[in-house]
Parts: sequence; structure tokens; C-alpha cells
Amino acid sequence: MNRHNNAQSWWRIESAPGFTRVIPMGAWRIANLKRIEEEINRTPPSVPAGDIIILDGQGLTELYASGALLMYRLAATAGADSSDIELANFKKKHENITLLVRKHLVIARDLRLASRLNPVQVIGRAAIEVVRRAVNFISFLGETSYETGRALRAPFHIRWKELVVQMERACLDAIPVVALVNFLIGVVIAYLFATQLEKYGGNIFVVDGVGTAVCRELAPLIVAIVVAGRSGSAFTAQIGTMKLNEEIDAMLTLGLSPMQVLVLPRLLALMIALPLLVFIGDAAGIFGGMLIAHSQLSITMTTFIERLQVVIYPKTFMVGIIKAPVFAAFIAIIGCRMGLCVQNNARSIGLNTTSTVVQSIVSVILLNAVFAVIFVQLGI
Amino acid sequence: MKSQSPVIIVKDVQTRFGTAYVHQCVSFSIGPGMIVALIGESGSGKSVLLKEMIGLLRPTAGNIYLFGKNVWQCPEYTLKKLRSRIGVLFQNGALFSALSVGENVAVPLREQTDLSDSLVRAIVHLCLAFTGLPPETCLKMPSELSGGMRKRVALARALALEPEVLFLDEPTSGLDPINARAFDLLVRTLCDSLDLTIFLATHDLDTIAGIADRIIVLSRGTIIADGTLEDTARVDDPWLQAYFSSRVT
Repeated sequence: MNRHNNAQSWWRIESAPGFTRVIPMGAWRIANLKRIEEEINRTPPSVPAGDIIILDGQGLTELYASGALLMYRLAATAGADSSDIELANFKKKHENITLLVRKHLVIARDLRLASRLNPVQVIGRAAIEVVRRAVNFISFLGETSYETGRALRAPFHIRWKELVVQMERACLDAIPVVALVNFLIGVVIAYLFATQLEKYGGNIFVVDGVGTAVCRELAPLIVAIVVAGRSGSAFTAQIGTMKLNEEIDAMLTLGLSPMQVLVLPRLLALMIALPLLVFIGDAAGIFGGMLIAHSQLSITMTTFIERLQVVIYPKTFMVGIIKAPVFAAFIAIIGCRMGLCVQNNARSIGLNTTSTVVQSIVSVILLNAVFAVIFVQLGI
Repeated sequence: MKSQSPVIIVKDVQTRFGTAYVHQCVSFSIGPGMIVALIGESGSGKSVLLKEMIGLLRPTAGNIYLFGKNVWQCPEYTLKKLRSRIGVLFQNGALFSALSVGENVAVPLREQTDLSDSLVRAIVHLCLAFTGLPPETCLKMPSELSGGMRKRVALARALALEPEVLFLDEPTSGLDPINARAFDLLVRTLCDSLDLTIFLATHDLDTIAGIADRIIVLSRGTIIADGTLEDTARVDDPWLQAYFSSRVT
């Protein structure tokens, strides 16, 4: 491998009138290419113009395809066109490689390996993508509504077994995390109220604050966000994997509708699960607030609950619960749609799953704002 | 050439998954510069054997030597060096889906060498051209390619580092006959001109008849035949006879 030190050259040039022999020397293989290339750049061979260039293989000990490629490059820097270079004295094996390389020598000199978009193109592409997604989403929404309507008219079409399985995953399995998160939110809210209310001696109002905030806004929102991260992403990943595996195509050819088999059970399951989870969230949040009220403001639990019954109307509770199925519908539809539009590669599952979580959380917060405006306008 | 030491030695390899035996006792050795085809019915453990040979799956018992080094008993460093001397074409191509075709082929060059960007590009184009792909393919993503093209790209990637041994897992499955024969021819040319040793697992009778120098038949956990096409065709085994007569004439 180290037959060549720096003093020695990777090639020799012999000139005769009208001819120039370029004689590569040593092992032209990938391990040495770096050095050979440097030498070509440092001391490019100079050949009288108009000379016929002959590549002479007598000095080669080893030759690989990439070496042959570089050999042609060497000849090209000497001013030769690859098609009219003559080969001489090559060992049979080396000649084969050289001819093979010559046959496939690509003229495309500076074709890049990957295309990069400029910023304007990136923005443009993103804009088109947003519009495309919006249109796609609306059509999917229509399709789902139509199928839901049909399924409700003929409930025996609903896949009850699948629905129950999805209920278990989306609802039962989510209870611990939903309870924990809402409990902590209740604790934090109660702390905030406690520090403020103590100044005015209005300790008891912590009940109003925690109760209203948790039931009306926080529990539905937090639960929806947790579910978006848990179930929405799972929907995309499950359906996306099935899509990649051609399971969706198989379903279609077997006469099954992916809408009925995959989307509807998930949609209905989530629409039933989310209100239930919000209820658990309400309870956990209020319990958290109650503990803090007890320890920080010395409001006993009895007092807390009595006050709660007075200030929290069923209306407040219902406002929170009523939002839940709407959030659920959006999360399920986004999750299923992103799953179904997974493209033909594994990477797309990851991208779509991320996108599902972002889209669902944004739409949940957006819907919540819309609800807030509507409820205020209606005086609820 | 016969005096040269074998490139691959598989010795008494035994593989067991749970209680199911895949290989009972598999032994053979392969010299340099030839195309060896491993055939066997579906589920006979061809791919498993291939994975054991390239050091991805540990056999239950037995030894595998590549270039005289025991694959399963050498330190990680040696294994890494061994791996840089082999190229592998996986059954489904196994292209990196996040990278374009050109970048896929460039990966081994960029990781293992410090060649200049322009030379890397030239080698990538050359390898793609070897496998019959136009240079524009470079910019495409693997998901935009057909199965056959993916296989070619995967072969180009396997060739990029100038391997001494090439392992091909079902190289022609999923290709149309014309492309499959072109692929065979390519493999033969590469073997002859680049002096490669090629070990392929296949079902394709035409590949075997067309290019294989030697055929190893794996059945029921052992090797039931080993030799040229004529040799193996003479072996009296029901599966093998059925296999050779399965061809529509």
C-alpha cells in the first residue's frame, strides 16, 4: 500500500513526436485515490496540443473502477477526450475494467446528488401544501360525515368490536395520565388563586376560581391536548403503517371500506371517550385545588364542597363537557386522515405523526377560542 | 486461481430459532472471483445464512470466516474492517428513505473515505451508470422509484466502495425478465472485470443457468448439492428435480 511515498509519482509521461503516453503507476484503488487526485490537482500533466494520448497500463499493479475513472480524469486534464484515448499494454483484467468504465463514463459533469430548494421555493411549496391539505381535509370531513350519517341510520354497520377496542385504548388507558395532569393543573391554579385571594381576605373564592377554571376551560383543553398526543398520533401511526403495508389496498379489494373499518370506530370511540375523560379531569383538577385550599387557605374539604355546590352550576360543567366531542371529532379526523395520506415510505409515517399532533393541538386551541366567543355571545 | 485461499468459509453452521432448526450442519467454502448461487425452497434459511455470513445474525453453533477471519469471534474493529470489504444488496434494497438516490450511493464513500466532493459525485454517477440508471435518477427520492430501480440503486451503493465480495439477496426478484437478464449480465461483467466474488441467494432459474459458476443447494437444513449446474441437476432429490423441471418451456 505504501509503495509510493511523496517523492514518487502516480504516473509517468513519455512523449514522442505526435504521441504522448500517460502511464499510471501503482495501485489505483479507492484507498489511494485521495492522494492521486491531490497530485493531479497539484501537478496537472501538460501535453503538447494535438498529440494523440495513449493510456499505457504497464505500470499498474491494481486497478479498480474508481481508479479507472480517475485515470480518465487524468487524461482529460491532459487535454484528451475520453472517446479518442487509446489503451495500450493493459493487463486483460485492467483493460476490462477500463473499457467498462469508459462505456459508462458519465459526461454530466456537475450534476448534484440532491436537489436543494431556495427559500422562495420552500415558501411556495409550503403554501401549496397548506392549501392542498385544507382542501383534502374538507373533502375528508365530508366523506366522514356522510359515512357517519349512513352508519347512524344503520347502526348494525358499525364495527362494535373495533369500537370497544378503541374505547379501551383511548379512554381506559388514558385515565391515569389524564387524572395526573389535571390534578397538577388544579394544584397550580389553586396556588395562584391562594396567593392573590389571601391579600383581600377572600379565601373562600378559591372554590369559585378553581371550579370554574377547571370545569369550563382547563380540563377540556388539557384532556384534549393529552388525547391528541396519545390517541391522535397513534391513529396516524397505526393507519399509516397499514397503508405502507398495502393493507388499506387489500381492504378495498376485499370489499371493505377503510372508512367503516378504521375511521368510524376510532372517531366514535374518541367522541365518547373524551367527554368521559373530561369528567375525570374535572374531578382530578378540583381535588387538586381542594387539597391546596385545605393546606394553604385552611378551607376544610366540607366547606369546599358545600361552596362548590353553590357556585358551580350544572351549566358551567356542561359547557366543558359539550366541547369535548367536538375536540374529539377533530383529533380523530386529523389523525385518521394523516394516516391515510401516508406516502410510500417509512419516513412519511414519522412526518405525518408529528403533523397530526401539531394540527390537532392547534385546532383544539382554535376551537376552544371559537367556543369561548360563542358562549359569551350567547350569555352562557 | 485455485491455489488462492478461500474468501468465504462456512463451517458446521447450525441455526435454531426456539426449537425449530433452520440449519442442521452447513459447510462450504468459496474461492475468489466466482459467482456462487445459493438456492433452496422458500423458508429454507437462505436469507438467514446470508445474514450470518455478513455478521448480522449469530449462528447457534459453527464458524464463519471472511477473508480468513472468524466473523463471530473477531473484535468489533476487525469486523468493521471486514465489512468495508464486502457489499450487500438487501432483498428490498434497504435504501435510506430520507436521502436522495445520489446521497444514498454516496453514503459509504462519505463515511469511509475522504475523497473530494467532485470525485464522490463522479463515482456515484459511475456506479449508477454501471447499474443502468441515468444520471438524473440521482435527484429522485427512493420512494419515487419502482422496485427494480431501487434494486439497482442498492447495487450501486453496494458497489461504491469497491467491495471484494458482494452478497446479493434475491437480486432479480420483482424484476421483469428483460431487466432481470440485464441485471445478471451486469453481475457477470462486474465479476469478471472487477474480479469480484459474488454470493447470491436466489430462486431465479435463469440467473442460475446464465451466470452461476457454482450452485449450492440448501434443503431441510443441510446442503444437498454443491457444484456446477450439471452436477446439481444430476442429484437425485425430489425437491431439486421438481425445481429444475418447474420451468415452463
